[in-house]
Amino acid sequence: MSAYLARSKRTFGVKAQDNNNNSSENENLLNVNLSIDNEVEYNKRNVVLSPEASLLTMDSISLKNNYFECPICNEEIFGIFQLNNHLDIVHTENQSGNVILSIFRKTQKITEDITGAKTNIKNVQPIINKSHWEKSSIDDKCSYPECKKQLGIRNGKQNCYCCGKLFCDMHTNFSMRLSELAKPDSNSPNWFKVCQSCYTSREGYNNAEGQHKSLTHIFLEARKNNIEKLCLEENLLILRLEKLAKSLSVLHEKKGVSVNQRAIEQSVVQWKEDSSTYQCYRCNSRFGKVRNRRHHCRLCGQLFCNDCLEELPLYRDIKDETTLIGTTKSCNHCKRIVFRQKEMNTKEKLPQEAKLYEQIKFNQSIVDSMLPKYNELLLKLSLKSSGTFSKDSYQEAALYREKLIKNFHQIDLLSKRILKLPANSKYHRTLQTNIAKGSIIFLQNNMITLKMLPEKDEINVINEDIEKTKRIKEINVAMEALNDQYSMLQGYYQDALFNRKFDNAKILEESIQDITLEIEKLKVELEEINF
Amino acid sequence: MSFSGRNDAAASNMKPIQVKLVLLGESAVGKSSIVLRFVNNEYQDNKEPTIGAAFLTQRCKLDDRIIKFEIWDTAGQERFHSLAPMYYRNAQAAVIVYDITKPASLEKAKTWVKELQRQANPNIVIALVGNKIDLANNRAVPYEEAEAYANENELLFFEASAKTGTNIIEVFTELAKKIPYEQILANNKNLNSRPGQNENGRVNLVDQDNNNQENGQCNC
Repeated sequence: MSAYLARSKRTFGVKAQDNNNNSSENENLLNVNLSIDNEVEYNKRNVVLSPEASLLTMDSISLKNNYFECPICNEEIFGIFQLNNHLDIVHTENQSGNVILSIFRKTQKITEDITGAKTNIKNVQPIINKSHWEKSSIDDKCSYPECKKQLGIRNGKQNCYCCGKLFCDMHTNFSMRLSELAKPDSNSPNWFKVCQSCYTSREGYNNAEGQHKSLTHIFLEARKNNIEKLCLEENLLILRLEKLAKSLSVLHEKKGVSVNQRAIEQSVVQWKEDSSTYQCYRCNSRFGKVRNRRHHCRLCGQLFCNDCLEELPLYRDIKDETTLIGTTKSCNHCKRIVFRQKEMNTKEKLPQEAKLYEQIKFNQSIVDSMLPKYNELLLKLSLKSSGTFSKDSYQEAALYREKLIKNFHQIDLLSKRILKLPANSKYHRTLQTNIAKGSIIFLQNNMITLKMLPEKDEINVINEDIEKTKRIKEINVAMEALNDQYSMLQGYYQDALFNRKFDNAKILEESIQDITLEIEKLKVELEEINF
Repeated sequence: MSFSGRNDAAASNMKPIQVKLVLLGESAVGKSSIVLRFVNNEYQDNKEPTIGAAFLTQRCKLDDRIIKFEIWDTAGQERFHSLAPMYYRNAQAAVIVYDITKPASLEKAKTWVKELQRQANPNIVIALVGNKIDLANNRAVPYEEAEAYANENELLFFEASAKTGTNIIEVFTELAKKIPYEQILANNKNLNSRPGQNENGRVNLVDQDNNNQENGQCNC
């Protein structure tokens, strides 16, 4: 087991770009900060990100797949290399560093105020090897491959402190910690101007994973303490168990002699006083006089309720299960501890066939419990007369069917795996084939008789039918009402004409037209439905 | 408000404004009785249920306007429910009636209100009328409850009795006051580009003559 400490420390660090006095103060301050994490050099604009770490720790830089968002201008940039480049080129120190720089300046001011002294290191030029520097001449060109700018007043002229070649201002706009021999050194306190190629080629520039180290030994150390305690407890309990078994076996042999079993048990472990507690040691349930009575664990001596107690088998030889001589009681915690080792051994000893067979059994039990439910649902679905059935029950049935088929598939796979296992003898082989046969018979009985779900269309048709008949009924009722109204209106109309109320007659006529239109509409709909 | 008579010469010369009014409500709450009281000032015991929708008219004078109510008295029975939309569709006023002795009828009235709010003309003026206050001894719907509901839904609210005639005229008067006539007139102008002529192109002389002959006048 090994634990990795993934660390992604991003330092929007701050390194003043000009070589004036002020900046070297900042440098010193920063150096203190950065030297905390000396393992990898992190520079101001060198944002080292790991995808995982960024999710956890980065808030200013968000990660979308492989896209990074620049923390300063929010531009989306592909890949870490591009991001670093972007930060190097677009965000010069005066832009990006400002906020952080000002914070550092403030803190420095405060520290100065407190100490009342300014450090004078700023005046001391750090010593560095300059012997490899390229000599300056009149006709110099920037050594950066794609640049080739004429060096001079306009483009600037600067030796890279690292490789010594001459570059223009733009391509020496980077700083790195260098040792006195002008080699990259993250432990060095001094920052120097370097060219872009030196800067980007240094160790850790493209390190997207961050620093990691193994913490396994810490874990092991921590675990050791725990395990020791546990082993101690286990040994103690096993000792007690053996003692119990021994004394009980003695008791068995001397059948005639009446020896108090309780006295023997109490001699193994001090029993807790009944009056000492009112609650179960494990679940804190209250003891009563009649209900929930007290019981002593024979291994730890504490008081427990009936639910937290288990039967503890006693063997003459703890490794041999056939030598059972009796049972007593213990809390389930103690029992687990005592038999933990044994259980683990038996599990490992279990042959492959047995394990697979267990799984097959488990899957079969699932099928057995689900099949009746599924059939019931199918029956419901197939009953057309039961009115509209919801989509829910159809989906539920589909879900059941899916699960069933999954289980069948699983059983099939497991039985095939059993057949592939190596066999030691003829009988072993027979056993394997029989298990496989059994599962196949199970599949034949259940899977092949598994009914298909009614087609969705079929259901829709049924639903539609029901809706249709409903609608037809509605239409018939409406038609009847309309016809009644029609004859009523005809009567009113005749009356109005008779009484020479022609404006009323007009209104009634309109109404009659409305009604006839409505009747026509319904007739058309009825025909459509019947068609 | 006064109902047009022979003496109102000036008023009778004006073209009456037609207002389509629809009565809705559960069966046997007294819709037809209310209309009968309003139109003929009569009352019949044990009236047989309406079939479909009955049509009646009544002229009223409000301020200097003549309003002609075209009343569609719909049947309350469930089987005629499908007819109702035809009549409330372009109605300007609706009277929703419930029976103060039957709480279920108020519930039905509430469903009618909802239906109208959803499907009828948005400018429709709705009055909620609790009928049968002559049976106040058997009252099952408190006045306050119905009033609160009416206020909540911005309905006119009355309790009335078709049997005794209490509050019947008031219902229609208040309705008439609330109707936005300008809109109706504007709509009518759009419909009949040549006023004074009916759709056959004839000058409508009948209306005025007819007006004098009308026997369904209100006596009050």
